[in-house]
Amino acid sequence: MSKAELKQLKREGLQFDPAAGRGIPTTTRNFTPRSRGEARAKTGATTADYQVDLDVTGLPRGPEKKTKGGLPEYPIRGSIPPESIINVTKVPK
Amino acid sequence: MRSTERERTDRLRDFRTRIGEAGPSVSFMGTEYLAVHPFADETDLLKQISWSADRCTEVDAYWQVFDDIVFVQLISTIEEKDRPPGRYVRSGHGLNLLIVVSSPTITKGVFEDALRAILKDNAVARALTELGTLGPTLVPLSG
Repeated sequence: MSKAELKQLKREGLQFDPAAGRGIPTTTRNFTPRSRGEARAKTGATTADYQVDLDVTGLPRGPEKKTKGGLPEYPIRGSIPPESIINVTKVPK
Repeated sequence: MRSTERERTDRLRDFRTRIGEAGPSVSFMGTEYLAVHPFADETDLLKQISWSADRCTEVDAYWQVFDDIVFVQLISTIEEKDRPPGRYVRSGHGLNLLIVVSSPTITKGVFEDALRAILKDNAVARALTELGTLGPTLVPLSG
């Protein structure tokens, strides 16, 4: 995610609005990108400045998808509170 | 340079970078797109990533069209329960376009048919000119 998105997540969480989209896209924790380019290529993310590990236990999920890069994609169909942050890593340029 | 103009320039530059990272893109009717998810008829790729064709019910893509980048999501009614078949738009990192189709899976043909139709009736061009008036909520695309 971008710096602005991370700031928002830390401050007030990420709000899910079904009228605005189909879920907050997330992927597996078992992926450690070597660069932002690799992260964007494999996940399709708009921005990949930061990788944030989240505990989304109990949050509703949409159907799993898979990207062309072979990574699973889990749309979270619920709001993600700041307390769900487990770890934040700056993805290397 | 106005902010919206700068954002558009950034999106175009970002698309070229993305092609370098994840490419190649697909040329289509004078436009270009880069899909994030596999199509149901990309047999070799599906085998490679261990995914079945019947699970290809949604494809997102970055689409370079009318000198801007549109984020397109094409989804089957099998997956989309909240909205009937049709086209919807919102603003978010540029124009976001959601197209709900009644096809059970998204093949390259289904995807390109949807793009062809939207190019033909000029709806996406109109939506791009109205981008500044759109909010974060999906609304039906007129035309």
